Amino acid sequence: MKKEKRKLKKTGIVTTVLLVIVTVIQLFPLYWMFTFSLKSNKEIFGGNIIGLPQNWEWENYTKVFAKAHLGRYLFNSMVVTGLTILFTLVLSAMATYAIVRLIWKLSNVVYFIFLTGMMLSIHAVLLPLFVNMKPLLDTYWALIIPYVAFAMPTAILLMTGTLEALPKELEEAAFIDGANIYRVFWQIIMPLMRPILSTVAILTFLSSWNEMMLAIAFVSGEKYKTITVGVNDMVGKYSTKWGLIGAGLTVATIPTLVLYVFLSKNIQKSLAMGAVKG
Amino acid sequence: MERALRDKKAICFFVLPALIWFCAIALLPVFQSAGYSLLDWDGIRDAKFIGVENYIKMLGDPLFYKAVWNSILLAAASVFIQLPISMVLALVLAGGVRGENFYRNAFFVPVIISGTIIAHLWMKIYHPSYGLLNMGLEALGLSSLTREWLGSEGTALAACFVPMVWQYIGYHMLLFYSAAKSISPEIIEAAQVDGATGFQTAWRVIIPMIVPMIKACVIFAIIGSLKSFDLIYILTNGGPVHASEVPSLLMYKKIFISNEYGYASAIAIFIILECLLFTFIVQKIFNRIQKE
Amino acid sequence: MKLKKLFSIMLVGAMVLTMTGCGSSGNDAGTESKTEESAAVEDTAETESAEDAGAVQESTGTDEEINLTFWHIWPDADMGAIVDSYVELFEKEHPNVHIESVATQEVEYQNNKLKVAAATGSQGDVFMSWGGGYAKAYVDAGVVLPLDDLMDKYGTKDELLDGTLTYATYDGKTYGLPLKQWAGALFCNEELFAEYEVEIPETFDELLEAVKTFRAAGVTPMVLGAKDGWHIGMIQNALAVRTAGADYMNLALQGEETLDTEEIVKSAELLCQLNDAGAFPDGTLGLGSEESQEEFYMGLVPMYYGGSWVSSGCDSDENEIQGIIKAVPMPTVEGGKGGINSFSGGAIDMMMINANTENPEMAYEFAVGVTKYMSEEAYKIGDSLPAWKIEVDESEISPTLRQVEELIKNADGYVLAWDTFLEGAAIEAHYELLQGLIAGTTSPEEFAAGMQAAQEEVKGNAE
Repeated sequence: MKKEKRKLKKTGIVTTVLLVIVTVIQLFPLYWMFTFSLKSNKEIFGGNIIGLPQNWEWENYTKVFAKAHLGRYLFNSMVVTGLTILFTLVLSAMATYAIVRLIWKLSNVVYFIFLTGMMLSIHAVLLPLFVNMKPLLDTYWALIIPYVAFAMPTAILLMTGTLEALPKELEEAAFIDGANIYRVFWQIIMPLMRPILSTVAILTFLSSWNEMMLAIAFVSGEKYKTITVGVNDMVGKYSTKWGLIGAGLTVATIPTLVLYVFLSKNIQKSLAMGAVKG
Repeated sequence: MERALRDKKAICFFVLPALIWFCAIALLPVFQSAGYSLLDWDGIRDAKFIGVENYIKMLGDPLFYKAVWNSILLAAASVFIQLPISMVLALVLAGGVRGENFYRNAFFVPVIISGTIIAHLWMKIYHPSYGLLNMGLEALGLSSLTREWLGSEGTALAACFVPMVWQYIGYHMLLFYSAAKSISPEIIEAAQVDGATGFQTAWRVIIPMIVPMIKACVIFAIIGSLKSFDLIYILTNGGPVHASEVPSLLMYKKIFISNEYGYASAIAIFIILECLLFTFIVQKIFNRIQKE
Repeated sequence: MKLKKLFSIMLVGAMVLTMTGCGSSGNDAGTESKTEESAAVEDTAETESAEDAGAVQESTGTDEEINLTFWHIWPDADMGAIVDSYVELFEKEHPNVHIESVATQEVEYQNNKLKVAAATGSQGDVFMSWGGGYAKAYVDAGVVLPLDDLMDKYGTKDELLDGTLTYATYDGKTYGLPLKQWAGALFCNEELFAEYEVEIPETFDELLEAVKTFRAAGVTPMVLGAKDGWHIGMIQNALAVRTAGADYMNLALQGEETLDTEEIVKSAELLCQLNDAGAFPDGTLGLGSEESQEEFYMGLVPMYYGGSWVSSGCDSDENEIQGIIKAVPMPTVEGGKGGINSFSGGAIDMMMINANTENPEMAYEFAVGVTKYMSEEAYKIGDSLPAWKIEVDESEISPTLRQVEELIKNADGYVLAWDTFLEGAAIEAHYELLQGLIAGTTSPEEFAAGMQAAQEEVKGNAE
């Protein structure tokens, strides 16, 4: 409570005004997307571009939902994204630990190899990857495996930065108490890294949730289609109708917003913990 | 402890799963691409080995230089415009303000939305007759400032930069913010007890302590810019007349429209090398900073 | 704090709303429309299937389970439902056959999905493709099944309209079943023409005058989304048919004549004249084709030169221009070699069969069935002209498409859009040069010379 009060005092008017302006700039497109999703072209072309809709055309949404198996797509996206995050976090944290804390000659080389992964562009490797992945096409793994591979470099880069900054005393104490290296990793390192793990989780979530290139090429049919591809199918068809595009875009965005709010609560918690322990 | 940290088995256990996974899936195709870059190949019919001819063609193509230059401009905009904004926001929020979490989430919102959606949205903002921007300018009586934002060579590139810079402000803000939050409160309190103002605390205590994160962000921003694709692809497709061409887009067109797979692979390899070079330079600069 | 709570509650609320909304209404609407459709389909199909029975009986001698994949480009609700209803019908007639439809958005399908899959011959057993330059690489690589034997066996060629197999034929063999034909026309909004007292143009000079009159009145005269190179190509290609004539253009695009002739320079010059007169929307280079045509459909722009598919938009009740559109041929050019009866157009959309399919006969049977079926449906909604000899009640056909059909009654020559004729790098060069014309950075002479150079390079590489 005490802390809270001290913090609040510092928020000056200038700061608040600045923050509010930035908020408006960042959120305005969202508001705008939502309003034009409820307008007809007639209204937009007639000049009502910014304002609230005169006739709320909810049927834009019914049209968007007309055929697509959105529930199925949503489920697929969740499976793919969930597993991608899990593998990315565990594997990257392990590799990071080895690179930062363990003592071996090649650690810099391995770090560098991972780093090069950030420079890869998915278009350039699409064809060889397709050939290499052929046995796994049309499964969840056809997406999860490459997503994890392409998420690890960013994850490792972020985690090494954090782990390097963490003091070593706790680990040293644990070793002196006789803990082995695996226990130190799980019980000391992982909890200490929680804030950055949450951050990495969100970034991995965004990149795999929104990915489209592989999702189109590596998976066929309705069974494994992800929500991003599903929405693209809808939006592509109606690309002259602003209202329908808006509705499609809004539908695609809402799950990510909600999941972010959900995940960001965890971030707050772990941030607080990290701050106390660090 | 020293011995435990040198344990070969443990090292293998920690590093091999990630390394093998990464090399087999992400790195191997790069070598395959490097091989393709030496071929005259359309991606499907018989290929012909032509040595480094694709690279010679690339280096003699004025369009290629234009694309590279545009991507470097974008990288500069990201580092010198986007990152400072993100830093200021992160420090203000990390310092504690009313509604800290709300603002943090609000700033991050554009990052959550997929690039495709952002691009469609900005296309509507820039629409010459019905777009938000031109309508807004007219409403303010600034009709003389209205432009064909995406349709004229003078403004297309800048018009592509704005949403890109805008979208990722929240991304870097979050990274700076979480780094700043990891600093133990005692250190900051100690500085404040010594009478430092908010600005001084940020400048002398917090920023030096989050240099590793700043380095990571600079690298992300540069690499992200050099590889940028999604937004430009939808907004202008590199036009008009290549005014907003970038290397990834050029590569995409070579692969998927003109079927010059060998040539496209050469561009891909160039992008990787270019990114490596910039990463190397950034590392060098930061090593010097960190030493000081 | 309160604000934040409100924000998250709102979001969660919205999420729950849409989730439940999508769960129930989405599914309901889906199944409902589907059953309705298929019921309607069954009625018509039963009468049809009697005729086909002969052919069907021959091939369905075996009872073994057959799985076929079908790759198409109709993921949207309307067309998707039509495809699904046919698949259902086919499976009913062939109980041992299971067909899995894979729908992908057209642009991604054309550029990415099909190209990547075809590189290893792993596209669907039956797959949507395009003839001319697009499928040439696939045919050369041996991933497409030649259909001549099967066509002879089933007498398919007799069911097709003349000339529809031209662009499915490579080195004398046929590889595709044509889905539809298109023809280019100038669609004019008669209401706007009357309002501004402009005559519907018959010659290029009249067109230019019309453009100037509309522009002077503050009306954007013609649709053009120059961000999409093909959209500019529609107009320039059609002008080239007028200046150089259909026969010459067909030879030139095949590489048997040159593209850097006076007539082709002239076609580019005419495009520039239109552009200079302000024919196209402001900021056209930043607009996509879909975006720009919207104003035409809203009744704000008087002219749209486009393919017969524009008809479907003209007759759709989502738009504002029902019954006021007159389709006329591209105006003639004085001294040009192509008359009023030569058109842009042809049959380029094809169904093809994977050379690696395990059941070529069944795949063929399905491909023929679905192609014919889709051809008819596309005809009815005004999307395109049929490629098959089918009979459709005139009242069912889109009225604007009927006008186009009238125009081409005496057609003496067709030329495909260049970008479907050309191959690989020449397509990109074509788009670039066209955009250069609109931006004013390429001269008509450079355009023609550039096209010839690109054509030579591609042909040279192929040999």
